Amino acid sequence: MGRYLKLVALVAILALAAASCGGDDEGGEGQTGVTGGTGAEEIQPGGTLRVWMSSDVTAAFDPQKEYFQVSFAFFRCCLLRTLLSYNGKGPDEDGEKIFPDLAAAEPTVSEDGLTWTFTLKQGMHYAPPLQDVEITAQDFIRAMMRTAKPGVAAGYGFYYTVIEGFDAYGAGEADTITGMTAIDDYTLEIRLTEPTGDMGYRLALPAAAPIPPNPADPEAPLGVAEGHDDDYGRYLVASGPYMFEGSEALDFSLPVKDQETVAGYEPNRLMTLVRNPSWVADGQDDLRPAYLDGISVEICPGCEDEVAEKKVAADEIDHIFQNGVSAAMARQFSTDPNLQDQYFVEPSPGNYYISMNLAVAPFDDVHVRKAVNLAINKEGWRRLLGGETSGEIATHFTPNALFANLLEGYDPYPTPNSQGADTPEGLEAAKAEMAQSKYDTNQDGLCDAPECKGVVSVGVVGRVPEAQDALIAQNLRGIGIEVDVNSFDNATAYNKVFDPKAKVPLNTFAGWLEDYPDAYTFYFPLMYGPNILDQYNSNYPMVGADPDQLEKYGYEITEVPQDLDVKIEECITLAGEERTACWAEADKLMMEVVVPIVPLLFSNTEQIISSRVVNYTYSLFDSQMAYDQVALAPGSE
Amino acid sequence: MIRRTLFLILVLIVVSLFTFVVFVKLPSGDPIIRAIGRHPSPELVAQVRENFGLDQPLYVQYWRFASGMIPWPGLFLDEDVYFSYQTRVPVREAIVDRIPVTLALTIGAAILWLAIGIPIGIISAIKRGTLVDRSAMIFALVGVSMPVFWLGLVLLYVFHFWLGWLPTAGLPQDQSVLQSVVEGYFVLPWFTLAITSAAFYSRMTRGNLIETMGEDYIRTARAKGVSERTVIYRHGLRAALTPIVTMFGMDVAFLLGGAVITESLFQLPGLGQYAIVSLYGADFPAVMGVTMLGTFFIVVANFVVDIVYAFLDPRVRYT
Repeated sequence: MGRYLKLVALVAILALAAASCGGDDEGGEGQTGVTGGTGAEEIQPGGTLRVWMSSDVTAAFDPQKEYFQVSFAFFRCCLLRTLLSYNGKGPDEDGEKIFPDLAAAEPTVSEDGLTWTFTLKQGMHYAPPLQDVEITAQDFIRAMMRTAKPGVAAGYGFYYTVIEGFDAYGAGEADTITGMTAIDDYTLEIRLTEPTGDMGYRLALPAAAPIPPNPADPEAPLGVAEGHDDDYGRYLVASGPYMFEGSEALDFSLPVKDQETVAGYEPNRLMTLVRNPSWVADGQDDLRPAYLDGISVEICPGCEDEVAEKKVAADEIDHIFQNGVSAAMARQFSTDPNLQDQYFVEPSPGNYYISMNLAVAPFDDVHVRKAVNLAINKEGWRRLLGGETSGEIATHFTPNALFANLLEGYDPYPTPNSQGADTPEGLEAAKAEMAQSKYDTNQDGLCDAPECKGVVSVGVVGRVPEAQDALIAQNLRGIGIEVDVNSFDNATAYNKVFDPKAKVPLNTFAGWLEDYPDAYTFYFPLMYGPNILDQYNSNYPMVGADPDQLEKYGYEITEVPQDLDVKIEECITLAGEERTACWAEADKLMMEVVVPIVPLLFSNTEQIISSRVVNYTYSLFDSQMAYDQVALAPGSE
Repeated sequence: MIRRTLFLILVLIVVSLFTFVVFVKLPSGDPIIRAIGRHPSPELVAQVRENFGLDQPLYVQYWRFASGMIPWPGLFLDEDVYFSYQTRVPVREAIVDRIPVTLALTIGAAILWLAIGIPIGIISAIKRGTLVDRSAMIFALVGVSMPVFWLGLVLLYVFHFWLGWLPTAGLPQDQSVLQSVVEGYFVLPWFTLAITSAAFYSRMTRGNLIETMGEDYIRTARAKGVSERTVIYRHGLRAALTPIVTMFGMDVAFLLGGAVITESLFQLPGLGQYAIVSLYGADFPAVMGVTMLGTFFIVVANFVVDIVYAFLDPRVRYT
């Protein structure tokens, strides 16, 4: 009898286990790389979109502090309007361009590129409780003042230091930003200290969104944000099609300490967006159809993504706000005929690359760096990540979408099927390059100098990254470089590569995502010498470091290429097509002359949606489904 | 009572000091960088460090955190010190918001595991060696062996996604915790937490009861003609339950500090979820707040257990 009972128990356990796993194992091997789109269905306004997030934003929706793609997305689609903004669409529908939003038209830019004048739309109002307050030019100045204020510690104030008097105001040397003038309520003039071709993009970021005056205290320099240096996000007055639920109860006439936070946002827990009646009354806007009545977001930090994905498949929630879908669920959605049109693979304006420290041997030799570029099996690296759906193999630095595809097809280090030293031709080409290096003394294509032994690489732990690092080490062995592979948890790995004094030769987990669709947001933080920081430095290869910097950080090598700095400074001043072409030239210069990286991938993002969602639209700027463009199927509540 | 209170304070100080030292010496990532974002210029880092008070000497920092815990002149967890580095939300506010969820989860699960575990243990002990006993022990073995994260997923997939009998993971945003309890949103989390504990409690109850039933005073009671029912329930069980009470107190206190896995699995916004997010984010004030609360629960539970002991076992007197 005892044996019988054990058998029954075992069968029960196995049955439960099978039931729990069954749903995930459907579908065949490999992913199809389908980029889909729901058909043009009849769009009916209304309903509430149910969204799930596995982590909250980083600064509780403070528009000055938030420096995070997720918050940028919610600000753009829903909460804040700016002078210029995006159309919430993908790369094929001008999703990377900016259009007048609160501005009535494109700005007028003086011939020297130093003065930008905006004319504002009239009759635009803030969300309740300030529905009677019109948006005026002074409100944009107020936002910049808050951005400059040191106590606020804005996330990306550096984008605005080109505004005349911005730094002086921040330093407390002036009462206002001298370079910003409200000519009248509807005309804003911005004077710059140097031509800045992407100023329009910078003014489309949330930090530049207008902050209303406080009707109860009109003299308060920061308006309703006065006294909320740390927490304005929870008192946010919206200007977009949505506002936090309960915004109308905000009472700015009370002392700051007595003001109640908005009910519709509980950090790390929930966010409820409802229609902004002012937006409706003011005639809506040209960029955001905003079909939904509301958006209900459940924030569940640390929760199981797989359970949420299962809820999408069961139509219990409509969308998961994140990058990526578990492999099992991607398989299920991409292969199940009932779910296929709810699965999307979209390009995101981000990249992955290996950085080589120009100031550490053997990477101080450009031939070694070129040989590494020829040796790496990028296709294998991508396959380990998940195959074609992970992204497009990168052959240069900045994603193609940012160059209007000017560099499409450009590949200075071609190997068969991008498989590098894992093909005879690739290995031969890499060896030929290595043979020209000073570290290959007998010129046999194998690095034989001691500098090529025990070359330290820093990567992160995990099944996939560790397999990718092993592949990189194997490829480099083919040209005589012996890599000492080191894998750390994320925080430790970043601490190492952020520190220029650590002199990390190879960083195998480098990657970046745009701040806005301009290559400046890649070159300035990642490849510009004057921007090398003592701590938290993201110019890992030390591109453009001057001799003083190299000495300061303890490098023996005293010179690294600085050609790119000159090019970056040239591109910054340009605008329009000239600027785009300049960045493309910078990319070529980088890949052919400086060669500090091995580009690996221009990444994709996967999205799954419930069957309730119609008019699926992907916003390139947000790298997410655009909540201001989608609607719910008729009959959905 | 005074001695107990002093002991509580001492424990809180030691734990707070230990937590602070761990945070300072074994950082899981600089909270400043997490708070700033992708371009942490030296000026910005210095400004935020100052805003957070992390530019002060360590002893000053510790004193700020330690004094911020004293509920005078304000409340427990002073808002000027105890605010989340990530969300800027006062830690006290976050804790107060989340306690109802954790309480509902803990109380429900505790009732369930007692209701399952103790009767099974009693029956198993009384019917020792029978089919019932063996079945109960198989339940105990299986229950103890099942990891919570696995069991939770299985229950969720079977009873919600497959059979559709019970509500999904997560709580509706537009209703109170009590309403969610009534509508059954806690049933699966309760069972997930309770099955493992119930299995353990049944084994403990069985073992203790069998041992107690072999004591001299039980034989004496039987010899005096006391009914078997009275022998078991009044004399046997009462003594057998004493160690269970200790365990129960500790388990409940531990869960009140946050049932991390269950809350994450079932998307319950409780203290466990808050703790884990704070840990991942190197959000020290939040970590300190939750740790101190958990410590407080455990010390108080110890105190309560001692009192209950006195009721259960006449040999114990509370002083």
